[in-house]
Amino acid sequence: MSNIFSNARMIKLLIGKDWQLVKKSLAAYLAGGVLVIGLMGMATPLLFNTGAILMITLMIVIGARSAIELVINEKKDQTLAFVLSLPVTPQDYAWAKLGANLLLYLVPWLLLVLGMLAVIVSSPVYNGVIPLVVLVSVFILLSYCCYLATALLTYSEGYTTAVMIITNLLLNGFIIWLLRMPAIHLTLEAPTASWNSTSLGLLTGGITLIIIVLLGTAALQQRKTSFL
Amino acid sequence: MMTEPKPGRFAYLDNLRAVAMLAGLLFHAALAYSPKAHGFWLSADPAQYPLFDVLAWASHLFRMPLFFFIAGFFTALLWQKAGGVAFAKNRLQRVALPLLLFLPLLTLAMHAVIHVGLSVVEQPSALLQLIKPMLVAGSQTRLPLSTMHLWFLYHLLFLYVLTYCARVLLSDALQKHLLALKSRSLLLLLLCLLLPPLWLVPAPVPAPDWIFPALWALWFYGLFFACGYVVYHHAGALARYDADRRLLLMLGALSYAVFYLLLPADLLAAQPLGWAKLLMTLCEASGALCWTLAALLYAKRYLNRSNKVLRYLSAVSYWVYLVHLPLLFLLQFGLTDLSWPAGVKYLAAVLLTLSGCLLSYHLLVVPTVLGKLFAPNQGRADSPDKPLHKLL
Repeated sequence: MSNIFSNARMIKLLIGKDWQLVKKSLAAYLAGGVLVIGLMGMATPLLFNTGAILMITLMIVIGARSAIELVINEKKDQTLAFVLSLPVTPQDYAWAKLGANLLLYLVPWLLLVLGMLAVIVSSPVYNGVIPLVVLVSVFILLSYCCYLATALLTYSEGYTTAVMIITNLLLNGFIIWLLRMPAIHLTLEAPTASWNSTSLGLLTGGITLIIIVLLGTAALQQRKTSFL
Repeated sequence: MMTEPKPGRFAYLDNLRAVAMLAGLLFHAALAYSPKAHGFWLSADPAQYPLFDVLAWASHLFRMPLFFFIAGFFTALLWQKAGGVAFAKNRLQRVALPLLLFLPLLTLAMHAVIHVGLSVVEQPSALLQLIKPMLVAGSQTRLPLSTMHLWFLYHLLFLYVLTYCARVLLSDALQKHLLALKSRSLLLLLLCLLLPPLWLVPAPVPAPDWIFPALWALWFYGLFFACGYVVYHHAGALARYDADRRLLLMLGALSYAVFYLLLPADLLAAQPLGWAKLLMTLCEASGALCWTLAALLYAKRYLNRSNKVLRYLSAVSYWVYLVHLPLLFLLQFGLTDLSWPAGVKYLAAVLLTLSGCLLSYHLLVVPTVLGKLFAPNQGRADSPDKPLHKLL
């Protein structure tokens, strides 16, 4: 049975190839991220809120673009034929796709989340919003994992777009749901981040779901016997 | 066409960088005796003299722009010589690591120094009095998080990220189009680009020392950084201003004179508004640009050499700049209540701080693992053209 170590060099090359394909987009997002963190850092309510909305938009766009560009388009543009000519198994290809997508999304996601937290900690914005920001960011990561899994398992633009639309709609609902929870709502203006049982439970739930989705995707990918 | 200059030809930039770093110590020391900075400087002394203002704000106008220009130049050099991955590793080791190591240490040291100041100084500065209640146990107000004088390292990291973005997104054709402009048109364009960030902040430019990137600083210093980056690839871009160096020096002086006259007597007081603000911003931008260029051109002419003294100054300057501030404040707190003239206090503070920093360099840096970060050329001091940009 093929595993990630059996053809590590080839997997690394495939990840490198994906990096080359999206590096222009990522560079643009990175520059956008610096701009957004700078805007939020001006620490006025208007700019902080504008920056927060832009940040969420950026996270969603990065995820959506990388899933479409690196997975769906490869099938659509028939560049998969090129991959077929390489000494790789479907499992190697699957690992490379999962690795490349996660790496290319997690790095900017982490930078944006850490940047946002740094802004909150160092500016007059109430530190009480930290659990809300973390939970929303984890939800966005979970959404990304869901449509990445859909893209990797189905290679269908239709299904992937449908999951994207659903998760984005759910994001709005999730934020409203969080804000209506007394355990979250009442601590928003606290001087320090209040990690109570509700917020910790939601965080644990979100991380568990992310792990389940990723492991499930990896397991299903392992069973693939062809590229098609 | 891009030219690839030899590293040995950049001695003037190493020397200039060392001068800019060491001038930071002189600048910070001078603020204690500056009437204009009296309201916001921690070690502000009862003895003040306007000459400190004239000299300190003059150096402030172009010292950091010059530093960022040189940083941009060496970024281009290192990226081209070593490649992107090696560049990233090098910058993590020489910029990010010192920032991560020294920011907490310096913050603790500064807190300790402030406590000493509060207990020994009988005539505390306005700022020292202001923060006194914040240090009382149980106080609701805390000192804001700050990158202090290490803000330039922090902003450099962001500029490296933006450099990567620009390398990926922009084509070389943009550089060529810009350089195809006439010398004075290019200067005018740069001047116009410098105006918006300076307009956004009070004059003289404050230190962007919060724990997040300041957009105006990334714009303002980023322009100088970009100029340095372009000059590495197009050596002629700087050389074509050589004939105008005297004019640049004079224009810078004229700009500074007007700028200084427009500055409020107390920098905490209301700043000029409307046309006066525009004129002040214009003069600030013009002074920064003209003097930065003039400094580079004169340094290329007179400082483009290397000897043991210059190499030593170049090697120690980074460490001196990094650690000088708590020691300087401590000494200035000790000098505050003495009835010495401001000039004598200034000299004493500068010389003692410099001695302390140099002593700590030889005790804490050279023989220890810190040497790898701050003194990578130790033991090879005789190598005349060792590229000291590795220290940047």
